[in-house]
Parts: sequence; structure tokens; C-alpha cells
Amino acid sequence: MVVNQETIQKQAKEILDKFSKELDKVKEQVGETFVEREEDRREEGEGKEGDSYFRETMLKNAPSKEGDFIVAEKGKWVK
Amino acid sequence: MSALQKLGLIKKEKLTAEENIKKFIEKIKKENKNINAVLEINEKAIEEAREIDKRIKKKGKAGKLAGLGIIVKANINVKGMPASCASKTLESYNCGYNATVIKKIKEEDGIILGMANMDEFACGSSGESSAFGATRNPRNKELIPGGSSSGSAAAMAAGFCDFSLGSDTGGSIRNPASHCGVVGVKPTYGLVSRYGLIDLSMSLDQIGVFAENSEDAAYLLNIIKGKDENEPTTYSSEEIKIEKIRKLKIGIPKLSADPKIWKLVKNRIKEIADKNKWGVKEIEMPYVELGVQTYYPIVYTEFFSGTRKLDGRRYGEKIEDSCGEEVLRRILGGSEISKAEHHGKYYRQALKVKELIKEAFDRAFEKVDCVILPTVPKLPHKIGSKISIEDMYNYDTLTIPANLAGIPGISIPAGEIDKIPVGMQVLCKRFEEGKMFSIAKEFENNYI
Repeated sequence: MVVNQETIQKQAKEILDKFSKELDKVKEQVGETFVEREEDRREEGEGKEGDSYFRETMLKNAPSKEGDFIVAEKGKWVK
Repeated sequence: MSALQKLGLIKKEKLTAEENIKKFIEKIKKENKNINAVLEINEKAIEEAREIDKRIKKKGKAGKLAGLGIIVKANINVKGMPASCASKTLESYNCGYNATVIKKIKEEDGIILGMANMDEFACGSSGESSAFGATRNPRNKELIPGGSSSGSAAAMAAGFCDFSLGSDTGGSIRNPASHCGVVGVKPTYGLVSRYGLIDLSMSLDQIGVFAENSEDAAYLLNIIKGKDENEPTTYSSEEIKIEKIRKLKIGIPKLSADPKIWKLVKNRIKEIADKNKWGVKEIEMPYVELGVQTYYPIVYTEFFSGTRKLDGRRYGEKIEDSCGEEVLRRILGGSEISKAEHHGKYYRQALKVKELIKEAFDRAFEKVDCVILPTVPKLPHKIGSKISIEDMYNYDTLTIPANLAGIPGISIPAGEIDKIPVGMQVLCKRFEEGKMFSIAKEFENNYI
């Protein structure tokens, strides 16, 4: 879809400034917030077995690949 | 027929899973072109139904969702199906795994019928921003169905499924449920695992359900909820039970909406409260009217962060090069907020007001058992109408506060205005889904 990035960026900034102005009127402060949990760590266990379907599908999803590898930016940095 | 009634027939072998699923697939194939609620049909659904029938015949055993058909919003991963988020960016993306909610549904023999249309990346409140065309409201095809879970709500209203799944970040389940005249539930933040959901705003998103009535919705929610080791924000919780409520105090917040909508909802509250001898009290909820202003800076920031993975390297296209206007607005807005020079100006300010809104609900729930209000402050517009960005954002003024406070909300039909469905929301304390469904059921039992 062709959209004018500059116009949209300007709109986004205008909306944020308007919202910020309204939130700025709130003077009440809040204390530190934290989440209380009974357990704060999870068991890593033995790890999980590899999923060949997942591997195959994700390789199919990749726009560019070479054998078993996804090629991210091949040669972009090579002059 | 409700999903629970149908389940009874399937388990007693008076209806086969195959018959149920075939009927839905035929209906979708015949009628979806007029509604555009479904983007992709699961071609293996009938085969899966046959397997369930075989199992019922052989062992007499079947899961809690045996042979029921479910449509899934296209931002939830279903192994072997595309999850495009209704965007050109992920048009070619196929899911390699099941989201936790899908795994749980499949373990109980539920059948995924297909993937539902939606606002692109859940960025919208009307169902018009899908890259694959707007969804139409089955109750009036000229009107929007609401969004962003537009296809899930429309599919439910059109009779394409027994249940559908959506995601709700600022009202994306309750808003279309209201416009389409079905039940939509946003659970407590942390009740349902978000593992496998393609996120819009990770601190606000929740996967929830659409159903024909609140009893069906509670049934499915009991199946998909629970602690998940893949999702650290989840909690264990007790079974959701619908019970008769004898004593109740309802809070009605002073928030603005179309007077016709407020009148309809207040009349319904009065009628049911009088019948049950429940108390009703108007309540002040400071800062809640700042929901939209608080919500968008948080969503812009978290969406910008969440979409950095969509760089076109591992899957799909680079998002900035392939998305629609509203998605780009949120990315560019989030990028602006994340700039070092604005540190604290937008995001931290919004987080502070978010906390104050949460406190306002905590204080309200000290005085009342639930808060009831309209789901959407205005009636849906005609598809294609020119509407300002802020007017679009304002569709969610009454649904956003529940997301900011992390509390559960259900939208149930309240009645009609000019033959357009209007929904009302019941909001309760965190993890009080049982009470919320019990109140909703009382309203449904007395629906005229």
C-alpha cells in the first residue's frame, strides 16, 4: 500500500502531543509498582526435543535461504 | 442451538462431528463472500471430525469440545495454517506451531474451521483496515462489524462456527461483539496464555472468546485458561462457575456515551436489578475518562518494539514497506516515543495514569461488586465512511479502561437501536470471571 510516511509521522506526533498535554494535567503521583509472585524462577528442566515440522515450516517461510540456513543480508556489507 | 446443547448431541451420537463441521464449511463457502469474515478454511477439518466420530464410536470417549467448530483470529498461531494478521506483511507466513490456546482446544477434540479476518495487526476498531478487504456486519451488511476481531465476531453472528477466538487489547473482542450482537469476553490479564499470539501490545493483550451465550463462553474459557510455562504472565486459577447471585451491588460509572445507548443500558440494569432486588449506585471513577490518551502511547511504544522482528529476514515482508496506514502510524509514533530526547515524556506519563486508572477500579470495587456500562459509546458507522483518526480511537473509550486495569469484561447484547445491536459490559475484579458470567447470565435469562 502506498502511504505518505511524512504525513503519517506528523499525524502520529500531533496525536501524541495532544494526548500528552491532557495527561500532563494529572499531578497525582503513584508509588513504585511491582508484581508479587510465589515463584520467581521457572524450571528449565531437560529442554525440549527439536520439532522437525517447525524447522521445515520456518525454513519455508524464509524469503532467502541456503541449505539449512536462513540468509539474512548476504553480502550487503561486502563492497 | 447452543454449543453445549450440540456437544450433548455429539456425545450421545445423535449428531456426528462430521455433520456439524460439514454444515459449517458449506455455510462458510456459500455465505462468506458477502461478509468476508473468514480468510482461510481448514481443508482438513472434515477429516479431523471423522477421526473424532470414529473414536466416539469405538471407545465412547471424546474430549470436552468433541466435534465443535472454532474459528480463530488470524493473529493466533495454528500449526499448518497461515497467520497473516490480515496484512500483506505476513501474507506468506505459515505457522510452524500451535499457540497454547490452540493446543488446549485440540487436546479436547475441538476442530479449527479456519482463520478469521481482522483489522491489520489488530490496529483498528472497525474491521476496515484488513489488507484483504473489510469485514461486513452480518446484522446489517452496510455497517462495520467493529474490530479488531471483526471476522471472529462476524463469523459467530453469521452462524459459521460454535465458538471463535479473538484478542482484546483495548476492546477488540467486546467492541465487535457489541456491534454484531454476540457475547465476547476479555479475560483477566494473565488468565489465558498469550503464547503463540502475534502481539499488538504485550502488557495489554489477552486472548478471549466469542460465543452465542455466556454459558458457552465460560465453558470454552475454562478450557483455554491456565498457567503456561511458556508465558510468564500467566496464573493458575480456579474453575469458573456460574452460580445464582442473590446479593449484588452494581456500580454505574459517570462516563459519556450516546444518550440513546446509555438509556437502553440503564433501563436493562434497572429492570434486572429490580427483579433480583440488587442495589444500583452511580460511581465516580477518576482518570478513567483519560483511557484513550493513556492507552495509545503505551500501544504505540509496545507495538513499535514488537514489530522490530518483522524485518523481512526470517519471514514475510519488511513491515514498514508493506503495511497499511494505521499500522504505520503506530510504528512511527512508537519510534518517536522511543527516541532518547522524549524519555519519560509519553510512555512513563501514560504508565503513571494507567496505574491511577487501576487504583480507581480497586476503589470502586470496595464499594460495588461489578461495574456495568455500555460496551461502545456510539452506533457503528457505514463501511467506507470518512472518519477522523481520533473518532476511530474513541470507539474504544469504554472498553480500554478494563485493559489498563487488567480486569475481566464481558459484552452481552443489551437490545437494539434502529435495528442495530447494542452491547453492555459487565466488569469485575481480577480473576472474578465466575461472578462476571453469573451476572451476565442473569441479564441473558431476561433478554426480550
